[in-house]
Amino acid sequence: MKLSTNREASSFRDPSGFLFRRNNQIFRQINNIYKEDYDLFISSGLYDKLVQKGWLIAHTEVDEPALFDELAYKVIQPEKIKFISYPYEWSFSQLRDAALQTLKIQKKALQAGMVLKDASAYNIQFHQGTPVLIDTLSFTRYIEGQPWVAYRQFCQHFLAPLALMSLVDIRLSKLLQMYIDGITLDLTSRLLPRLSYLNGGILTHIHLHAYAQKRYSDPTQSRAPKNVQVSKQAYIGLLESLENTVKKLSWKVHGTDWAEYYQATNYSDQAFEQKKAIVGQLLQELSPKTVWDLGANNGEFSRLGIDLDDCQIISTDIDPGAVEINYLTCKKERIKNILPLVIDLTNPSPAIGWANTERQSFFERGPVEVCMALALIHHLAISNNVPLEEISHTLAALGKNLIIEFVPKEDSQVKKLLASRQDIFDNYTMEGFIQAFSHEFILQKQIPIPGTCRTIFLFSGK
Amino acid sequence: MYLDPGSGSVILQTVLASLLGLGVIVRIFWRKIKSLGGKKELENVEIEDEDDIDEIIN
Repeated sequence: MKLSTNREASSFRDPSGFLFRRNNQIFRQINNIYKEDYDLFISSGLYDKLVQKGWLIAHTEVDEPALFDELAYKVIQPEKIKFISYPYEWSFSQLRDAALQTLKIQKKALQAGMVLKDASAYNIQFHQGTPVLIDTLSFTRYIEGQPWVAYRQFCQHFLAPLALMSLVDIRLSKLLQMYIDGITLDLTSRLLPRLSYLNGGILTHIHLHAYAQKRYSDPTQSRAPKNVQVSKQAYIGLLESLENTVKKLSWKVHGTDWAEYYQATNYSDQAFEQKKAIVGQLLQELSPKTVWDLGANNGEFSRLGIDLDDCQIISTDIDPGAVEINYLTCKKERIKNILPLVIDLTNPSPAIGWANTERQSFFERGPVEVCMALALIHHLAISNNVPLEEISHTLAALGKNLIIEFVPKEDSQVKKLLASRQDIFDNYTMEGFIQAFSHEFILQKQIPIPGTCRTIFLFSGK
Repeated sequence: MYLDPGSGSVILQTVLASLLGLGVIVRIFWRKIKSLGGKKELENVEIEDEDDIDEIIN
């Protein structure tokens, strides 16, 4: 069988079907092997129920030719997800909401006599502000007595990172980037504090789970019972226990770099409002469909774009605390077109997984119509020593237009950055900045922010 | 099934099964007693989920 190049690189594990791309549209082939489950999924009303609740991505059955005809039962076209993000880019509450959504879907499925046969965090995407399941082929008939096949996967993909983020350090979410099938439970168990043994849910689903995995690591050797039975009550009990364990895990924003940055800057309220007016005006004029707000902090400036028609805003920051606040604010205000993500622009998410193609790098998911880089350049140029030309080159590849704030050396924030180091940045001046950016951009607007020494620039790509 | 459930994970589930299953039965029983006593549920937040359990089991 010849593998076509337009099959999605992330879609190969489950023989039930796969995603493929044709003419810039995404389709899912359902294979004959999944026919019975798919028919039950539809006829039981489970599909309608989940879509109606907004928990599952909707699809339509289409006449599109299959990619591998000999295997095909049907071809469906799922509603388009505007931006694919990955669990290692989510803040604590995003991952927690994704975990709870998975369990809610599982319980709803059980009512219809089906269950989730996988519980991968990659099957959840943020669509219009809420976590939805995007893998229509995740459901299979529930057979009474059978244990939950995806129990281990749920623990590795959701519970382990949440426990580590909550009980050890928020930055450990990045372990998900190293372990594509979730953080292994023996490692999680070792990293968690002793006190976590007192948490019943963590004790059973992580520590005992890790022990059981080690003890029965070789099923051909173990004295494991052959015909294991898990009653329906027990099955529900397990789901409830996982749900309670996840719900009890929390994380409060404190002590991260930027979460309180706006309160700590030298911006007066008036200057801050004026900066908002300038950026808001530029966004209105450009009225883009796609925006990346890089170094967005808590998303205050991303939210200037909430009324832009049909516009998706990716609001990134290096600080998990700022992204957490951003997400919780968007959730509370029911903002649908902003997706906050934890991205370190000096080391953005790489392409990972099989053949380095399974999960895309952050940059591969661009370019966009507008990039915003507000109060960011000094962190890149001074804290991270990136030459101005290099910053321009990189931003030119990411967006057709660029709204960027220049923060000069006279600014107190830059003074702070330079206080403990030698100033080796001779060309870090407004002139040097404009010159560096004019290689790849055309300067469109230059608007000083009243009451500050900062300037907002609008550039368009050459 | 394309996932390997993992033998340790399956065994743990069966061990937990009896305990957790019992918990569910006790909870439903308790709720029925409470409703017989005419006590109104004050917390509405998770009501939908709670009803789900009855529906799944019955």
